[in-house]
Amino acid sequence: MTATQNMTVALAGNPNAGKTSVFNRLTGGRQHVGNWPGVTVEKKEGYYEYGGGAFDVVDLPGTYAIGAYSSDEAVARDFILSGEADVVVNVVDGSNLERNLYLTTQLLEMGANVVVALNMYDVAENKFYLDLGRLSKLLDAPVIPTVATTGRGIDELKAAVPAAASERRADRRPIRINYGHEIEPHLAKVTAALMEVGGLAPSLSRRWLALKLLEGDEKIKALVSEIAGGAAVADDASAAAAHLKSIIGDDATVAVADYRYGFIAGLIRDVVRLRGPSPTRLTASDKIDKVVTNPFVGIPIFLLAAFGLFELAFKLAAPIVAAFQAALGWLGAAARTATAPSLLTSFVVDGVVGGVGSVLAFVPNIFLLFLAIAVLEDTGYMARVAFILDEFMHKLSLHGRSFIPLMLGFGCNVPAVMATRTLETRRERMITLMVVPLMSCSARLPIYALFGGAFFARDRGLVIWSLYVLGIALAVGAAKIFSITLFPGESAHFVMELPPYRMPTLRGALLHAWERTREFIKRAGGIILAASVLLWGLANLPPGVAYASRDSVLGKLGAAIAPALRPAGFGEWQPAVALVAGVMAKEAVVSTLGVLYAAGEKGLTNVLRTAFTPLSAYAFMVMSLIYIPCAATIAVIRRETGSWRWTLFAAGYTIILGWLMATLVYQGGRLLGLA
Amino acid sequence: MPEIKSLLEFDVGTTVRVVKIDAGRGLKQRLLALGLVPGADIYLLAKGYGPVKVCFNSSRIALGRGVAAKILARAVAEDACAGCDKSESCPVD
Repeated sequence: MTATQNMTVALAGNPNAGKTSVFNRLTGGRQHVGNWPGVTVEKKEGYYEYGGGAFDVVDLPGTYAIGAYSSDEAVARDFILSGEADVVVNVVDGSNLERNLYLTTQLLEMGANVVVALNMYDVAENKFYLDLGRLSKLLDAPVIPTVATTGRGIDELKAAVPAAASERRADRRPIRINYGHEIEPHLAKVTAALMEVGGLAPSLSRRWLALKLLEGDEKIKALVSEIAGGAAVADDASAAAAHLKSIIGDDATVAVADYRYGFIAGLIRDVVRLRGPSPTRLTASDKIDKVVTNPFVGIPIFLLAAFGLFELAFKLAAPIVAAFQAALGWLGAAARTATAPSLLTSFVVDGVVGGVGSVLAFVPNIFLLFLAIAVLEDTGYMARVAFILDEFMHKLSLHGRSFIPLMLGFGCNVPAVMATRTLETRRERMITLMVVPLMSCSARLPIYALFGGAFFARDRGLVIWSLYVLGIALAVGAAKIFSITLFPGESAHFVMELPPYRMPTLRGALLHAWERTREFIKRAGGIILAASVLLWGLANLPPGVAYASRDSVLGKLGAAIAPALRPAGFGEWQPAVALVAGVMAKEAVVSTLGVLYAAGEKGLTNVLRTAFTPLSAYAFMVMSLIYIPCAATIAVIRRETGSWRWTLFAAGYTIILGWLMATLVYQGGRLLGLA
Repeated sequence: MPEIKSLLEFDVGTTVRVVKIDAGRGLKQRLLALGLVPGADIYLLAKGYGPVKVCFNSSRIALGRGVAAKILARAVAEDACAGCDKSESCPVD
């Protein structure tokens, strides 16, 4: 690190240790989200200044350990091994020392330059006396007490970082845990052998490497074998590992973990004294859980909460959206009066400004949805939801956590697809992602409301409900099929921490929601705008045609597609055009129909009654439910999967399925004499 | 010596001691990192239709039934795992 370069700080720690809060406190709003190359793991980076210096912060994924058994752990480990970080701030949950220190010992053994942020210190203080000085000495690393939610200790943490970096000495020896009389001799031998291997980076602790080799770590084995003379050492280590297994009766890795915890237990005995009587077995959180995770009570509670969430998000967002649209409408009208009517004016006003309006219409809803999810997640409630639903999800080869993206999908598919990145395995991510488009988003509701109202009056509630159920049923079926055919493999094991319930921090939730919304605007905004302009183009060309008339390119396109829709009962150019418009945004279907039939809101119902029958109307609704995700969703699917192949598949299967189902409904209905 | 059973077979409210984890490396590492080493004590908080809720290492963890079935343990004499804090010398150790 030169004087002109920024110092790089990596943040590592358990999930639920408050790492994100520390990150937020350090960086304020100066953060952005990206991707670790090659994996679909989120990379959060930020920046802060302190004491005349500049610091880049990299928030590593939350992990319980640094092995190589999940992409999260691999990413964290690779980053630390790369030496790019000058300092690693290990955020430790002070009220849960025993487990959190497991990662700490691993970081220290790797030879990383660690500063321990003992977070949630307020909780820890109430529970016990902590001899911080002694802890720091035993770990050979600075220990800074912090309460990230209030900001306490953050300044001290900022001060400790450059101090730790400058104190780094090449001869500094990482902590030594004694691994017992079976392992230690082998460990010493392999360590000595590794010291002879010339090409290894000096920053890599030989003892740690030796330990990994004895544990059978494939990646380290490959890394060592690549270097001249390393392969022999690696092979010897493998032989030693096999020998150990026969003596111990289990993988060496189990014994290693055991000794590590032994070390930690000894450390804690030395450093911690319980304050007051032992806490009771059942905490308040446990009592709440008894109600919340009870399947009979918990599921209704959840449905109520979910319903309330969506209601709130949309009710709050509605006036903001209306305000945006009014403002844009005013802008459009002003532009039109100021200039002579022309194709260019129309392009700018109807195409571009209209397109921007479409994007902005999403934003308040998206933001509030993300905010609500973040708040729920923060309280710890989401973990309980995953818990309740896991058994059911398991039948679909999914994790309980998959439910969150699917639930989000009912609001909007775009954040739902984005939410799949929190799922642990690629398999779960893909299956969930592929099935999200079948969750009937809020943009489809106006279509149901229109046709439902026009054709089913009294029964429209039932009809609309049936569509949602159909979507869910198809999703279940599709998930099952995909899990067997496209993404075969083992279901991920369900192991999940249930953190104690706690009050959410609004600040953190707001930052999170804003970050996601910004990402939405970046990714989807451009697509929606482009699609909107494209649609405008198709509707207004060739020049001189009436907007979206039969003679426009769009109209001709609709007419070309129409015959294919005849088996489904709506083989006219107008429904076809509306469906094409729906690709840009599902809500466009209704407005486009209005334009095509040259009818306002009230007139449209009457016109529809002449153009459709109840059966064909239902078929059309089924088609709208299923066919192709909207352009924005396609864009984020591309982003999350990283492949055009899967994106095209998602688009393709939904169109085909939509057509099939609509046709089935229509023809089946005709056979039953319902036409 | 109380018999060795899988975690799934014990009643709610018992404290059991881990004997072995009968699983592949990935799952084993995962559980080890959380503190499930041979000799660790687990307290069964809830068991129903879905995942099992347990307490160990001062944390509440949910384990899928498949996972719980792979953890082999034996009952500990009495509910000796008071507080789970291990901040004083534990009588069970």
